[in-house]
Amino acid sequence: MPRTAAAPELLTVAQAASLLKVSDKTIRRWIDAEQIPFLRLPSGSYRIPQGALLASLGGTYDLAAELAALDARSAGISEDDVRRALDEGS
Amino acid sequence: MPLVVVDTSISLPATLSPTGLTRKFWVLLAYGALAYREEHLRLELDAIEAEAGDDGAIGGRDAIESLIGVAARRRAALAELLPPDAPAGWVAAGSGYLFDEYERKAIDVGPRLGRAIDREEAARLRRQLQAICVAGPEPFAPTDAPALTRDPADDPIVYTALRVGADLLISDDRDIVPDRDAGTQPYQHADSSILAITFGQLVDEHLHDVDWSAIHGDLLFEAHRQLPD
Repeated sequence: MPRTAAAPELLTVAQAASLLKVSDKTIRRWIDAEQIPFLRLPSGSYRIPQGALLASLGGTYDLAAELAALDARSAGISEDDVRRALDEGS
Repeated sequence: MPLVVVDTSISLPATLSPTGLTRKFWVLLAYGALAYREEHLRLELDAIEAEAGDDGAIGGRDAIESLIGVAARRRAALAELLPPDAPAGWVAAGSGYLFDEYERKAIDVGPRLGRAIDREEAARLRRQLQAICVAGPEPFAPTDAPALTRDPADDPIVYTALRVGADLLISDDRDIVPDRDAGTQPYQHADSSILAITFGQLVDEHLHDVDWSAIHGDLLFEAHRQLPD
């Protein structure tokens, strides 16, 4: 079954941090601020739905500003340039 | 609603070049992610509520409601700018390995494009990939991936697509789709199967009706733009 919203993958704090390559502390900060949805188990550990975690990036970062900065640095680079550069490295 | 995994041979041209067909496809994936989140994100809340039972506690309900509202507004804004026939049903999935591989290759390829990509910029690029993904498989170690391709480094990519139950793995990597004439390569493992397809074949077979000339790469901004409530 696809691991989509109807059956989301529930991640531990460590798995969520690894997926986004941020620290456990960052994930816990987002949990404390309720910036991301989470389930707190009776044991005190947390589970975070993966799809919602990925969606929340649009709230925790200014992706439009980041894209603008990235594209400004990539001006003049064609997709064929990128393909050639990838081929040269393989 | 086709669920796809996009490997670095497509995601890097799409994100490192503001122009080109792969960026236009990226706009469609961002559009698809917004439509998907608007329609399905609440199901994730239902799922954790079911998992919580009587003893667990749910947090971040307002965050989900906010994300749904934001997705709806961004999708509507993007719909105004896309051609009427632009498909909203293409959505992407990714895994930790896929994101790590993307980031590693972005840093590696940068100097050959005449621009160094440091770790901070690579992290920003990684977020551009993650932000258009709506789902992912159960986390796995790369060593868990069975031998499926000619290049062991590609096996976890194919395994990502298999584990997440994707419909297609889009790749121009010759180790993943060796037969360039056919443009496709089936993979199977256990009870899962996936069709890997080149980007050209994808466009010819599945997206030939799209008016690409009316889709501009900078529309990706609209998928992320901060909008008033």
